[in-house]
Order: sequence, then structure tokens, then C-alpha cells
Amino acid sequence: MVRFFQVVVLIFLFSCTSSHDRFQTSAGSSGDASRKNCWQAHNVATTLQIMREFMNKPLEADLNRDNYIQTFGCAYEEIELEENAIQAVHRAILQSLRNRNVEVRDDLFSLLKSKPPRPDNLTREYTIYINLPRGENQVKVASYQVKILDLDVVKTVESPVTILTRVATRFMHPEDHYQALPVSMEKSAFIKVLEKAERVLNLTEKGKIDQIYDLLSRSKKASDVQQPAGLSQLSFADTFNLLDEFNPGKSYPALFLGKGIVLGMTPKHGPIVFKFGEERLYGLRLDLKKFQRLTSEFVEFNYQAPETILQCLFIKSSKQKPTALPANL
Amino acid sequence: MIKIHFYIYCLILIIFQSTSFAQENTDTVIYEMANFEKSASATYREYQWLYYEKKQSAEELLVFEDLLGVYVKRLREAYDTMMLLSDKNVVESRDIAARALIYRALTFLEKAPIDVSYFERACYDYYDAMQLYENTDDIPTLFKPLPQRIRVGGRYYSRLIDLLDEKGQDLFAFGQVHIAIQNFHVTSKFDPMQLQLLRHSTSPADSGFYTYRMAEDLLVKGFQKAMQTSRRYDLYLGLPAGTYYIRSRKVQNSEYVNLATIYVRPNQFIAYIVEPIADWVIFYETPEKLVKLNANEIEASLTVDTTATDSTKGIQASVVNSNTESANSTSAVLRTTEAIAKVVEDIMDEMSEEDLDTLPINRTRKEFVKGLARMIITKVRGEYMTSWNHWTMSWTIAKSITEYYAANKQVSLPMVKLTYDVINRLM
Repeated sequence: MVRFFQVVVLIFLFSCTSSHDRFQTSAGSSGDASRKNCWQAHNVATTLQIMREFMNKPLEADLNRDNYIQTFGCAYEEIELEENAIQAVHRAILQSLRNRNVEVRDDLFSLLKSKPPRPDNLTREYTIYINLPRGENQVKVASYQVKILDLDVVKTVESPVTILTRVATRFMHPEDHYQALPVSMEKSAFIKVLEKAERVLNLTEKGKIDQIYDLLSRSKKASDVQQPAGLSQLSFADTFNLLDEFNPGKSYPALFLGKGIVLGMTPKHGPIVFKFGEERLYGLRLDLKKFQRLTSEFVEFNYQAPETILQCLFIKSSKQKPTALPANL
Repeated sequence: MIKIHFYIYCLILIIFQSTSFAQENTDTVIYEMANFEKSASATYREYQWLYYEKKQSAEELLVFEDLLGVYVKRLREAYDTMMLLSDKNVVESRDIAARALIYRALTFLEKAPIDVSYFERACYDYYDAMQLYENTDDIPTLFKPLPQRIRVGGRYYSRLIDLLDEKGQDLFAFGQVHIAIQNFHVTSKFDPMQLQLLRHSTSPADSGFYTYRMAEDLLVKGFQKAMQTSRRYDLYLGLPAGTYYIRSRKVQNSEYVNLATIYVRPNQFIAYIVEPIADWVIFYETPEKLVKLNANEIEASLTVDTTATDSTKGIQASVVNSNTESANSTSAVLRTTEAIAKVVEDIMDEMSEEDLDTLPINRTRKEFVKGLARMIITKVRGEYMTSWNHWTMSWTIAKSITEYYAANKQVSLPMVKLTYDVINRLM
């Protein structure tokens, strides 16, 4: 009995330590440069693949009858399961509000943080206040009910603690429901952002920077896209130029991917994934005046490229890199 | 009614007493600091005497170094106390603490020719002294007149910068590397004890004269601290110019053994952010301290132009090889000179007559203004600062312009301040 208990404790300790590793459990696996595709690893599906299947779930009949609508969310960015759960539920609720064309009054993130949704607890219902538009520039405060129907942890290429969630939402008072009938039944707009980001990252792997620029230029543009003012404000798919230190008239395009990692065109080595500072290896310099955000989608949905993919892209490119600065620099 | 008056009287008395008590405390600390500074300065002079005239052994000199170390530590503690008492009236205590650090740096520089690792130690003291002025526009004590002149060799020096300019050229062979460690958790697989800092060398001649022994230790301690606290941790390294690799002895990714490659240029500031990414550590450079040297940018910042730019314009210029741009570069430099000259004029208009008299204006004011603008463009090349500190860059520019227009004149403090203000305005 004692031995059995010791074994159980050992297994528990082992599982605890491994679950806290940053995204990958096997050392060096994610940065394996021999992988043909950074999205294919250890027979694990991507978040996008799992979400597509997950989103086929129909809304329960009784909830449908009670005027609920269902929306979906997912998150993989953080190492803490709870933080991913909060982000996933937050995305699902925001989708529901977009569908009804209403705005939340509360600080939704703080509310979720104070009562965090977890896969293993029973905190599954929230009531929030929203602004219901009434006439010109007038709003009515209304109660909005949120039920978390599913909150699952899955292992994906992006993270071993990816969270998928399905929420059902409705107005607490039926009269409010009839005043704000859903204008859309979109399940998750974030999925479209994930799709586009995956296309960008796939093109990054192939070094097709021109095609990425085309893809981003075709994207839906918000009327007032706030342009990043500096390095610290860059987000996924923001573009800028690299200046040639030996030929001031020349510049090369570059694309920010996240965590200081960039896809940039170089004079002699073609497209390379490198981190800030390494542009000097190619005799280039960042043009800090022309940061451009061609699409606001990634910022609006707080999209961040999966770190495992960034790591894989970076390490795959590292073999081609010069070891030291050009001689005359 | 009388009772109320009595209470008000008591309250006023308490307030006044506590203010005068705090003032008394501040004066006592300053007085103590001034005494310690005198001792530090005397120890520096004594050290020189023992070193050059008495030819004392290294062990005996070590005692003096330790003694100087005690003064520096006590002065730093006193400065921290002053900061806690009030962060408004700290100029004097900061100057004293900084001067003690410079004295120790100068002491280390004396011994450095027989033990090259002392150049590195001197460099850290010099950086620490200048670091005290970070986030303020106060003039560092290095450029201010000393409370009393000091005699070194056969000369008297009234400012530390003149002394350092003569004896501290080796310090300028180092670059300051700022590393900000963030987002690390104590559960990370990364082991700081396995860190290794190596210098890239292609030939024996390239192996470098100066040492970088303290840097690896500081780096390891920085990572340990960041992981213990799970907060952002900033540290500075003083590295001799060259290319360095930061590696982990316990290789995590066989394909990419270098956690970072650091390119250090002499007398330059380089800022890195260090973050974990997946199961690995990433260092990336952030050129934070840059100077705008583009005429349009400067003009725009002067006129506070808020016109939005079309985000799609830049896409067309993916690989730009415009001959027109290179042809226009000369006119762009001219426009930049004019824009900077305007900034110089604006700042000079605000200067007092007394300060203006100390500027090395040889013939006309216009010629001096244009010369200073051109010198700033030459010294601040491209986008990045070429100096690790605005004050040291201002000194270099002020020194060059003084040598050009009035070779026999000393570089005046208003000249340094004017250059500093211009650079600040361009940021």
C-alpha cells in the first residue's frame, strides 16, 4: 500500500513538472530543423483543425428554445491553463456581443479573472451588463447571461494547454432579446484570423514574402488603422523596411512575426527568418520610421503567433546565417 | 474655541518640527558624504603616490583598493538613503556618490597596465557613475567643476572629464550592453548556471586585449534573479568591442547552439530584450536610443505635424533601388543641416549672455551654428546613436567643435549642455 502511494506521488510530481515546461515537453523537439513543415509535429493536430471539428457541435435544443445563441473561442498563447481559459471564454463572449451588435459595460477581462473559468471547476455562469442601443445616441443597460457549455484542454501543435470553449449567451429579460435580435450567427471570427495567420506563417516558411504582402493588402482594412509608432508597438504581420548599410538607396521588405522575430529579404541570402539585431549580419539596418499595419485584424483579435512555430521557423533559417558581422562593419 | 486654537498650534508645531528634523537629517547625511568623498579623493591620490613613487607591491595596493571600495559602498548607501528621504533634493548626494565611483575607476585605470582585468572593473564603475543620472536631465558631475581641484601628475584638474579624457581612453573601447530579462518563470527548463559567454575571434590578433570576466557572472546572476522574482530584470554589461556568443553548455537545440550573438562596438549602447520562446531562450536587439536625423522627421517633429500617412504606400517600395533617392541624398543632408541648425538657434536664444560667451564662436554665430549642426550629423550616423550615453556623445561633439573653432579653449559646460539639449530635441 505504501509503495503504491509512493508511486502515485512520483507520477503526480512528474506530471506537475512536465506540465509547467514552456509549451513543449520533449527537449528540442519543437525546433527540429529536419521537419518539413513547422505545423506538423508528433501527430498532433493544429488548433485550427480541432476547432473546425469542435465548432460542428449544435446548440442544445432547450437552450435554443430559450433564445440562447452559441459562440466559440480558443486560446493557446499562455503557459498557464487558467490564463488560456480566460482568454478563450473572453473571445467567445466578444463574438456573441459582436453577433448582437452590442457593447459590454463591464471590464470583462477583470470579471473573468475574478471568477476564472476552469475546466475542473463549476464556475460556468456569468452575468454581465451591456449597452443596448436605443434610438439616437441612447443606450439602455441590460443584463446578459453567459453559460459556458464546454471548456476543454487539448494538446495541439501550438501548445499542450490549448483551451477550446463553447458558450451560450442571451439577454436576461426577453424584451431585450427582441430589441436586439442577433444580426449574425458567426460562430468564431477568430478562426478566420487563425486561418489567415496560418497562411502567412506557411508562406513565411517558404520565404514567399511578396505573396504575404499581397495577402495582407487584400485584407479587410479598418477605417482608422492605428499605425505602430515604434518597435515595442509592433504586432503580428506589421511590415517595415530594412535599409542596406552599404547602399543607402536600397531597402528590403520585412515582416514582424512576434517575439522579436522577423521575416526579411536580404541582399545575398534571400528571405530569412531572423531576430532583431541579426539584420546586421546581412549588412542591413531597421528603418524605424516606416512601420506599417496593412490589416488591423490581428491586433483587433489580439492574435499572437504560436511560439513553437516561431521557434521552428527561426531555427530552420539559422543554418544559412553568417557567423559574424561583415568585415567592414 | 481656545481648545481648538491649542490643537492647531500643536499641529503646526509638530509639522514644523518634523520638517526641520528631516532637514537636519539631510544636512547630516550630506556632511557625512562630503567627508567620505574627501577621504576617497585622498585615497586615490595616496594610491598614486604609493604606486608611482613608492613602487608598492600589488598586495599593499589592494588594501587601498578595498578601502576605496568601502567609501564607495558607504556613499552609495548614503545616496540611497537620501533618495528615500526625498527624491527632489538629491543632486548633491548623487554628485558625491558619482565622483567616488569615478575616483575608483581612475584608481583601477592606474593599475590596469599591469593587470588588464582592471580596465573592465574601471569600466563598470564609470558606467555605474553615469547610470545614476539615467532618466534625469541633470548634468552629470563628470562635467561639473570639482569642489576642490585635484593634482594628478604635474597637473591640476578642476573637472573629472578632463582627467578621464586624458587617462580613461581605454574605457571608450568598451560598449555598454543593456539586457532586459522578462517573462521568465521559475519552472522554466532553462538553467542559468549553464550560460557561457564567448568572444568570436577569427585570428589570434582578434582575440582582444581587454577582458570580459565579470560579464558572464553578471549574466548568470541576472537570470537567476529574474527567475526567482518572475519579474523583468535589467542589467548592464561592459564588453570590449567585438562579436560575442551567449551559449548554454546544456544544449537545448542542437541546430542552434547560440542563444544570442551580441555585436559590441566601442563606446556604443546596445539594448537587448531576453524572453523565453517555447522551450528555448531568445535575445533580440531593441535599438531604443535612436536619433532622428532625417530632415523631414525633424521638421515634422518641430511643427508637430499629425498628418496620417497612407499605409499602402510603402508596399510598392518592396525592393527600392531608386536613383532619385541617392541623387536627392545630398539635398537631404543639406535640409537636415538646416533643420538641426534651427534647433541649435532656438536653444541658443534661450541661453544667458554669460553662457553664450563661453561657446567657441570664432567668427560669426551663424557659422558656429552651421558647424555644430554638421558635426552632429557626422557623429550621429544613420538611425542609431553611436554613443552609449547622450552626455558622452555631447561631450565628444562639443570637444570636436571646440577644437575646430577655438583649439586653445577648454570645452565649456554650456557647450556640452547646448549639444545635449540639441540631441534631446532630436530624439
